[in-house]
Amino acid sequence: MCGAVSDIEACIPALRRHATALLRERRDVDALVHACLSRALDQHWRQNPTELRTWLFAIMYRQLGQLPWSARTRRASHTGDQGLPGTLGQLTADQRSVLLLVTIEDMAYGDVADVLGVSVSSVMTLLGDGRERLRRLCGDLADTAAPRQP
Amino acid sequence: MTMERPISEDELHAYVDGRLDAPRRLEVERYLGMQPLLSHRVAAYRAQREELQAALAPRAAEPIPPELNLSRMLEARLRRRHGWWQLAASVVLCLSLGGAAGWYVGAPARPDRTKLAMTLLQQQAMASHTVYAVDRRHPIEVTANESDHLKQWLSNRLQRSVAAPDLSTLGYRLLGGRLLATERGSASALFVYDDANGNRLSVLMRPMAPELAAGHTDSSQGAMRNCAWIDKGIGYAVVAVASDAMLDKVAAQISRQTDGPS
Repeated sequence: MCGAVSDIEACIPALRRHATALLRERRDVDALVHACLSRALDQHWRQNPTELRTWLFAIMYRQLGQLPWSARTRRASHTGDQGLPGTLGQLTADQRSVLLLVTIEDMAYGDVADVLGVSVSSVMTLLGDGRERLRRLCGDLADTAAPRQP
Repeated sequence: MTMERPISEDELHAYVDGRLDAPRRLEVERYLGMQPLLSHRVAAYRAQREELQAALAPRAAEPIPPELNLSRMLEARLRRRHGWWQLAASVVLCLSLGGAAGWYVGAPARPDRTKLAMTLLQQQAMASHTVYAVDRRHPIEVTANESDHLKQWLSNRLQRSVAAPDLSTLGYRLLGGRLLATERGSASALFVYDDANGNRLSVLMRPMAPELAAGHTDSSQGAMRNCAWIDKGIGYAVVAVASDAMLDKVAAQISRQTDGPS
């Protein structure tokens, strides 16, 4: 039961990094990660998750839905960053989540689907739409005949 | 067409994310070489990926705030769950509940009783280590200098011969010992040691029902490691922030010493 505690510990930096991209206020970030870890500690003795990181990110997303309303609205107006990370704020929440999980966490598409509780084909649609929208927001208008329009 | 299989939009993303096997990746590259507009779009996705990674990936190196320290969270839980007897530990001593040593004496030990006994032993050891052993100023009540008094006092209170194990060959110096209350109102003993770097190690001994027995069992909470076992009516638990290997050595040494003429 105990090797798992240090395994959870090893995932905390990535959880915080991801939460930072979802929420603007630093205290909300740490509140979200704390809620996620508390939940994980509650459940860990009952479950035996095979893929710990996917499991933790999935818990974090479930906790995100339970954050106070004020914190959730900040998620939609994510403007704290300059450059491309700041532009992420103009994607839909789901597009942003998929793009971050695939890009920053380097997660497999199937794991992203598990984290968000959607199908792999939804993940691919969100990823394609998110990337294309981001490209246009950055002023790149070449090849407008993309197979999948946002 | 030079391609045997058409390349899907999903595969273009898998290409960007480095999730294609080598043969397919080469096919995609060849195809992109013939499609300048598509190639331009895929290059833009790759650039996005690299720019986002460069900007956001280093955030994982930020220091973790203390409220997200998993060991602390676990200790806080333990305190919440077992708060009453930890508090009682300092009070019950004065109430002199002598004679209550040993518990559950009666029916032969069922496996779940052994498990429960081990859980209680581990929890008491972790909690006592957290509260007492790591305390910089007052980890103990009687110092190692008064070793005869320490031995006699704890043996009287536990109603059996209890001596501080000698761990000096493993680099742990005895600081002293203290009396602890168990959650059942009986007495138990805690010995506290430190190494050359001042890292504390504690050894808990508590009376157990004579029919209980359990081999060396490792567990941990965050950085704290615990090795516990039950032998001849006494539960032992070693706790320290140290390697499992070191804890096992300490445990083996204590077993050797308590196996002798007792």
